[in-house]
Amino acid sequence: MRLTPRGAGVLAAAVLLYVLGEVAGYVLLRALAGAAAGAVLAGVAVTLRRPRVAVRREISANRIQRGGATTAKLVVSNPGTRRQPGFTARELSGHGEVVDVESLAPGASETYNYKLTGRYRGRITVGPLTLERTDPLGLLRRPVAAGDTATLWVYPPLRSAKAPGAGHPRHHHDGPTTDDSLHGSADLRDVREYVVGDEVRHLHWKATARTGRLMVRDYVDPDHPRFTLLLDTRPPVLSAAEFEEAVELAASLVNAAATAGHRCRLLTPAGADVTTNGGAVGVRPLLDVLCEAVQEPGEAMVPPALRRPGMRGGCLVVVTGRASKDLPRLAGVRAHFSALYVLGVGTHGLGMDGLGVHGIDGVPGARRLSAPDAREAVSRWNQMVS
Amino acid sequence: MNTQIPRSAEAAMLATTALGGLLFGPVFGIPALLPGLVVVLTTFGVAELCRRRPGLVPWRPLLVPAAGLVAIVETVLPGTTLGGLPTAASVSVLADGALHGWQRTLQSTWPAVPEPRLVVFVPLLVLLAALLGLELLHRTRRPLLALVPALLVVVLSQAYAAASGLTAVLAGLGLALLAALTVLACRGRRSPLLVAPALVLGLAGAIAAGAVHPTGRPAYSLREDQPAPVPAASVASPLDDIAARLRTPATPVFRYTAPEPVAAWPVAVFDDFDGANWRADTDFRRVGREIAPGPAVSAPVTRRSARVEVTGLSGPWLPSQTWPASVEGVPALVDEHRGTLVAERSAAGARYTVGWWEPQTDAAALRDAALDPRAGLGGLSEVPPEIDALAEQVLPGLRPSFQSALALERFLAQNYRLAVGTDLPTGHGWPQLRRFLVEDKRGTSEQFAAAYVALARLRGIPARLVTGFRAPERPEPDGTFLVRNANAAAWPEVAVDGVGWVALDPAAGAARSGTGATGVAAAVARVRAELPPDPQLQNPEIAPGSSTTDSSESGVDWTALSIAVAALLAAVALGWLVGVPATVAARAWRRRRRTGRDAVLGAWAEARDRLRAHGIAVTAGTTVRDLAATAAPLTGPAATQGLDTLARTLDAALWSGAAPPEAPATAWAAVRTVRESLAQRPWRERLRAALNPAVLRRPR
Repeated sequence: MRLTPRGAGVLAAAVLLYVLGEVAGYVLLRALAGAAAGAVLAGVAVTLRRPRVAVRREISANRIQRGGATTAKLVVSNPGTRRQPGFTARELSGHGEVVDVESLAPGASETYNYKLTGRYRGRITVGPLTLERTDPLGLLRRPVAAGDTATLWVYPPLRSAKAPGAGHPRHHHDGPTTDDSLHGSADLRDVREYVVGDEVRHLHWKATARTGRLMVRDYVDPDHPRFTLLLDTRPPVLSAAEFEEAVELAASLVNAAATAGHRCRLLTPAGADVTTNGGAVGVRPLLDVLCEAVQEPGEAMVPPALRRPGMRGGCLVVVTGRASKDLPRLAGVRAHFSALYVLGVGTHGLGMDGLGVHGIDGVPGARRLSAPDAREAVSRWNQMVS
Repeated sequence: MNTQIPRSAEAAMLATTALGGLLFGPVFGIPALLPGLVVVLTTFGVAELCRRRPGLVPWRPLLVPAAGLVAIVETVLPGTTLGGLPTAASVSVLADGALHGWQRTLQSTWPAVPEPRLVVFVPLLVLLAALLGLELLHRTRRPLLALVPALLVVVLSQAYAAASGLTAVLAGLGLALLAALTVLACRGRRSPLLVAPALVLGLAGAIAAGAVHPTGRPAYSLREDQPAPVPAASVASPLDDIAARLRTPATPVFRYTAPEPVAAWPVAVFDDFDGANWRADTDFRRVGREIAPGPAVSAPVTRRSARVEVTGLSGPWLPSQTWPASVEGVPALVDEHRGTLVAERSAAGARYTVGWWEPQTDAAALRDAALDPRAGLGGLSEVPPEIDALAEQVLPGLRPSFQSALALERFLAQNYRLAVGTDLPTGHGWPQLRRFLVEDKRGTSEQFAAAYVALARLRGIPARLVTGFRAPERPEPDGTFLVRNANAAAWPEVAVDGVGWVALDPAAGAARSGTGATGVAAAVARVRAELPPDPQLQNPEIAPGSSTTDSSESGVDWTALSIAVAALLAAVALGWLVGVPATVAARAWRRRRRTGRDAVLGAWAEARDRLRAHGIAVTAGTTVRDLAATAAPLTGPAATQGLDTLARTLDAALWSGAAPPEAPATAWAAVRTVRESLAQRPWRERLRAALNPAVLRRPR
């Protein structure tokens, strides 16, 4: 049981008035102090009984965009045999949403809907609920934690972006593949060591014989477009506000590409590396990573994972900011991708480099785009890729 | 600023401020304060205007004082307006009231004269508190913070004149209630049942804390530090003048006209003696509207008055009476505790009407009267041993009482002689008193009175020395009484329980002023005449059980208050326990008496309200079939069937043009089914339903 600020004020006023009434001999002030103290005591009496109810929270959508909202449903039921007076349910975390629960008859159950809004990007733990019974004058409250927690993912806002054009077919290392491949055409991308789960049909016997270890062919669909996005999370490159814009841009592009069916890969210099097969299902892991992306120090802009063989090819998009001295290093991976876009977000200020992406002149075929915020960047991207 | 502050919160806050203003009632009287409190209404009006026109909200801090000041000028200072418009005079009075009115009020007796210059500071204070409260309420949205200015007005009103007893407790409760209403209004709709503990405990707390007063300090008032400035002219003690006046007996001093005989005209009262001089402690105030008789007077009083015309008094003192009530015609200061009057300017030539209170008593009551120990004995300094010995000899074995006071008077009157002629002894210090009491045994009324007071105090009789003029024996031909120097005298007064100060006159044993005195003087004369000789004087019986400790010091009858509160609570409880079922039954009876379609509608309303009483949620839009579905778990199949019947009957009655003749009976039969199945519920639930006051309201 705790005094609210108002209750503390009333109690302090009661003491003050009583002392004044006693010292100066004013009955009226003493009576007023007595009434105030009586009100606080009544608050104690009213809040003494803690709410005995069962509460369950259901969140209709646990992934929302920043600035959006989702509806949370609070089902309050009274399993006891006595009527439960009303109380206030307050989310302990999140944004402290408040629900006023009316009194409940025994065995009754009531549903309350309230809005959970996502004001900041990130993963938010909603709950546990605090059930609070306050007295009518709001002098005392008795909080009781109840219910479980839920996770709410607040994604960056997704703007409608166009997916880049598909990549072109690559050179075949092992001769032309058959047209009647089981899953459509298959393009031999690599020969690598066998791992459990690989299809035995794809064993490359020649290589196995040469190396003495089981080797398999790694096929990809040559027509399957690929989209790789490198988000620069190093702190010197982007300020905190600019980073939010960069994440918003990255999310918009990844969302567009994955929804368009591109195989997508998302990398950061800090080591995050997610690959999905595209489609609506493939969007979520990528956006989850972007939801939690934070700026963290990393050494080089191009992570080692991008240099190693793996899902490469297709289009590489680098979302960065003031990164001019690192940009020439993109030349090292340029050959693995059919297209390279360097997107700079943020106001660069009046530094030496001025506004915009600089320093990619040495990278062949790289296209660049600079914009002050994500909205502008997406709009220019749409013009560039169409 | 998501929601507006509700109108009711503003109203409660402003009512608190107005109550704070009304607590200045003891100072001016409630009727004098009421016009000024119109500022609360104008403030509410401005707040309402700003609610309707949100564009005016930034101007509210200016609009509130402007409207309030105009309202104050129109209601409190109508005399300064010209054709209803405020003038420069209004501004000057407002400024004077704000700067000096509060102080002049403190220097006056209470209730003060409700003249605008004095009263106007209260409405100005209320206006300021209302303005601050309103802005705090809207800007901070904290109702209790908004009540702080009003609370400060309350504290200030108490610092002026503290309310006491029942009034104080009721006012404190009222303030607490208004504060609670302000908070509740800001918090929105709450269960009224949960407010009940706060009401009950607040009531109990107010009564308990009002009664508990461990230090027992008397109420402090700002006026204690604000005596009225006494005129700077040198104040010669009228006690020193007596002998001089007696030498020129024919010189007129003042003339008075009174409808009833007056015994004497006191001029100055001396209650402290330092061995050489008698001093008058003074506590002068401006004369207000009417001065109540002092707390020492519990006997009924009658109002007397006389018209006085001063001719031969040069000092500031004016002839007065023991309990003056009013002085008109001359600006005067009054010492409420002693009754002395002082002219604010020169006393010479003053013409005034003085009103006073005369305690009603008769000889029988006075004979057995005790003395008032609260009056105090006063100082005597170092008493010469001869006088101490003399005091031991007179009245042997008699306790202080009015009879012993009279016996002492008789002792002086019989054993001492009044000095007449030209060789008059003067002085009233111990040496002169010793000579008078032990050696000469001859003196003027000055020595008689001073010696009486000294001996009385040595015997434990509360007494004080008064100088003034005895009333002349017969009026002048024109009906007025002319008081001359020959009437100058000093006499002692003793404090009698319930009657206050009663004048005795040891010097006038032989030459008693025989103006056919009435009132207290006549009663004293009767008792004096019937006083038994000294050897037969006996101490009065002390009534068994009477104690000197005063149990009801605070003046509040707590038993009566507790009974009143208990009766109030009982009335509320009875109103609930009996009122709710009775109202429900009366409503059902009324519904059943309707005919045709109305009867069916009444049956539906009755069934709905019966189910509502059991806690089933019903809104204005609930249909019979909705209700049947909601109520099914609570009532069982019979009631559901009954409600189905009711639904069909209702449909037929409402939509088939005319209600079938058997419809009312069918509908009410359905209601009976519902009631029967509700009667199967546990008795506790049924009791709760029977007492549920929510069903008296329409569903919303």
